Amino acid sequence: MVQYGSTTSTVSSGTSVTTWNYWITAGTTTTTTATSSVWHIWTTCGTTPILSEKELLEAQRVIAAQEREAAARQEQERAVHAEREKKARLLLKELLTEQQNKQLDDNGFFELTTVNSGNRYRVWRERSRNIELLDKEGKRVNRLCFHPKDYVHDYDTMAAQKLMLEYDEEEVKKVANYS
Amino acid sequence: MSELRIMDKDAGDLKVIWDKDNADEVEAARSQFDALLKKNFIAYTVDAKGEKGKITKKFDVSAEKIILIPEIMGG
Repeated sequence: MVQYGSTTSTVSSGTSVTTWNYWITAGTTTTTTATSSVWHIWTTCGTTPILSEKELLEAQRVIAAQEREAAARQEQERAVHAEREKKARLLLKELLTEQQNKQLDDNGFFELTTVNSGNRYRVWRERSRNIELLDKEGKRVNRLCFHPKDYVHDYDTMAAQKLMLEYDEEEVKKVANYS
Repeated sequence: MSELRIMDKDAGDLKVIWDKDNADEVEAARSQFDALLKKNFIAYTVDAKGEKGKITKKFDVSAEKIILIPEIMGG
């Protein structure tokens, strides 16, 4: 069993402090003593400031600079995301009919009917589990899940899904999970 | 003018434009197309309205628009 031992020392400022600076191995006579560095300035709280005014101003300056850098990074990330979304929405817009685009803007999904099979699908704005196979009344029969392996924007995912459903439905049946 | 539209996870959508009478532009687009197919991207040709799509494995210099999507997986 090992415990800390404590002792009282006087440090350079003349302040008396208690430090834990040696180990006691219980049950033996071995004691190891080490020299410790202590933050003695913390022991004088209430009488002497923790930081001098100059140190405090410097710390505040550093913190403010770090906060400004973090805010700038966040703003840059938001701008990049907005640009990616704009480009992905443009591509999807080019692939959808006017009615499908309105459906997407109004409801967060668009519907399509494939030429070959006549199947009707609803594609929601999500990355996965976002496609519904509908019956003639528009009720969900199945939910499908397939998407690009890469984490592209949701609008790109929807564009890829639209292309596959309309022009490669057989491949969709092979790769998609149905629930 | 024709265009490749590439879904890129890092840069967002990229566009590569070529004029079928400009050999350098055609070669640049073809090279990009081939490189992405090697990375298992899937290529669809569509007309200018985004319709009449079909999968293609070969670069079609006269295509109006080719969309390259990353490999697909079940979720």
